[in-house]
Amino acid sequence: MDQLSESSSSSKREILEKVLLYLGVLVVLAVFIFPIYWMVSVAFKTPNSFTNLPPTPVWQSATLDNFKRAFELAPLGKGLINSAVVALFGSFLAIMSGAMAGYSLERFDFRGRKFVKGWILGTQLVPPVVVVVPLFLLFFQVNLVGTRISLILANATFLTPLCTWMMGGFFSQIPVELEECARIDGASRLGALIRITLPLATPGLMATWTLTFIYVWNNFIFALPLTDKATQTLPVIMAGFRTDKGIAFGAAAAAGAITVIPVLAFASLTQKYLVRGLVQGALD
Amino acid sequence: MNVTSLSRDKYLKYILLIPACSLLLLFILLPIFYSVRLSFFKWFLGAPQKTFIGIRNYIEAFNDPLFWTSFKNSLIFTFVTVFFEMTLGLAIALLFSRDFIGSRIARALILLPMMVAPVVVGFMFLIIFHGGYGIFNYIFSSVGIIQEHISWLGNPKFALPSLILAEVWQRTPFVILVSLAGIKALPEEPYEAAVVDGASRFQIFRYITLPLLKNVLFIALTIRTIISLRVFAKVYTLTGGGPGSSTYVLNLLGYKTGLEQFQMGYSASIVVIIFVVTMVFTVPIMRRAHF
Repeated sequence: MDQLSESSSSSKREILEKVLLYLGVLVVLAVFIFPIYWMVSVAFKTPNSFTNLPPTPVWQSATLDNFKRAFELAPLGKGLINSAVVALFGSFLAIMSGAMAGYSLERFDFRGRKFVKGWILGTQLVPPVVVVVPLFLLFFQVNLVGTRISLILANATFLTPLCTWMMGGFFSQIPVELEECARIDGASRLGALIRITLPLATPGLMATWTLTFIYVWNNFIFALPLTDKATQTLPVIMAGFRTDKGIAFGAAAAAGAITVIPVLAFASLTQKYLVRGLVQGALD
Repeated sequence: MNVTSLSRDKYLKYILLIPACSLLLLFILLPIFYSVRLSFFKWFLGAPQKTFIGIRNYIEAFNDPLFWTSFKNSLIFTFVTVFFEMTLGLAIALLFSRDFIGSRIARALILLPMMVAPVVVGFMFLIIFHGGYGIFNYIFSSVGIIQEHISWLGNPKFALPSLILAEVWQRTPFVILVSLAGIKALPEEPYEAAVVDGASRFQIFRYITLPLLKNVLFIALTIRTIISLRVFAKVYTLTGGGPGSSTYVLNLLGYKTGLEQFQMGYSASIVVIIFVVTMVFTVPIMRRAHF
């Protein structure tokens, strides 16, 4: 009898704990998802309905008017193209330079290796604002302000240390023996790298690429001074919705949704790699 | 192997370093030296000459009330955001590390805020904090926490806390992610031994989990401190530094004095100070983390 009541009270406790666990998870998720949901829902509401308190549900008056207005107010189509071009080339360049440096630092031993590694990774401490004025002046001198090239170079440089670190970590997980086998068979070191190691590092490459793509897509501090009307990326266009005369909230929310949705879609497609990349980006 | 491929292999390690090193030299190291040099000159962008004025830009900064406001705000912002991100992040990670139905989806969904551009986060919270029809006012007043609607971003008392809330919302998921990875890698033996010894849950957390997670947490702390000190886009869109100068941070001051007011020398002295502040705060933390 004693035993019975004890086991039933412990199972009651277990049930209570489960309930609290699910409740806690739901509350946390609600808090972290809500702002995104809210902006997207404002984007679909009519101007009259989004000031309603208590708020009315989106589906009562869903409309695309805000999106139409956002495209009228700002060059969002051009912005989408600019953002995609800069993010694609910027992440590609960062990964190329990072993968090469990461491989060299991971696979070879030479004098000064530690110094070079420490130096490359140490540049991650440099705040972007420290170089933004000199970069502007430098690119101005060579007529590259207002082009996508300057923005690609600036972003790729700032992501090179991260890529070096991440790719170095992925390379170190691939056994050297595989490369040595290929070299016995007559491949050069470069050939072994391209044909053996690189394909094996594909998941790591994908992880790094996903992460850097999102970083470049979202970058603001370089895009603000280095672009002009024709080359503005989405974050710069977005910031333009905050004017001295006030903010067109509906259109701004629509523009925000347009900025965020491609990244969320991209992230969900590459989610498997992304989580790994984010973890690897922080831990080695 | 022939001779040419041997020599090619010999130099390969250096050749592979060329792209990374040239990018970093050209677009980070050189600009840093340029900024340091420029900080000793008085130069208005467009003016024909630069005048050497020694450390007078720094003296001007130290006598500028806006500099000290920005300095104070940057430090408060960094300390408070990092504190909440670390504690909330670890707590939520412990919750999410338990087994429950849908745990994989939940662990993916919690990462969404990380992917939103900071500029857009600014607008999200502009809508949420709106003094008239913001949902924040609606929820708080219907629960009875506030009596009347507050202009969160228009009131100097509430603007910085609002900015901090937006940052904590966006960056806590990073700490959750890193902590979750650390929790998954925890060994089982110490826990079995602790259960046998009859340790309480708090004791297990305090004397086993926390020490084992120490390195992971220091890594998260390092990265969070670096990124919090870099805050720019969110301030730019959420408050623009206002009302008044109540949310001005060093990065905004450095940017605006340089690329909006064109006082290039003065701006350079501000960014050099930012660099020093970043080093002073992050290097000691970084030394305790093994990356």
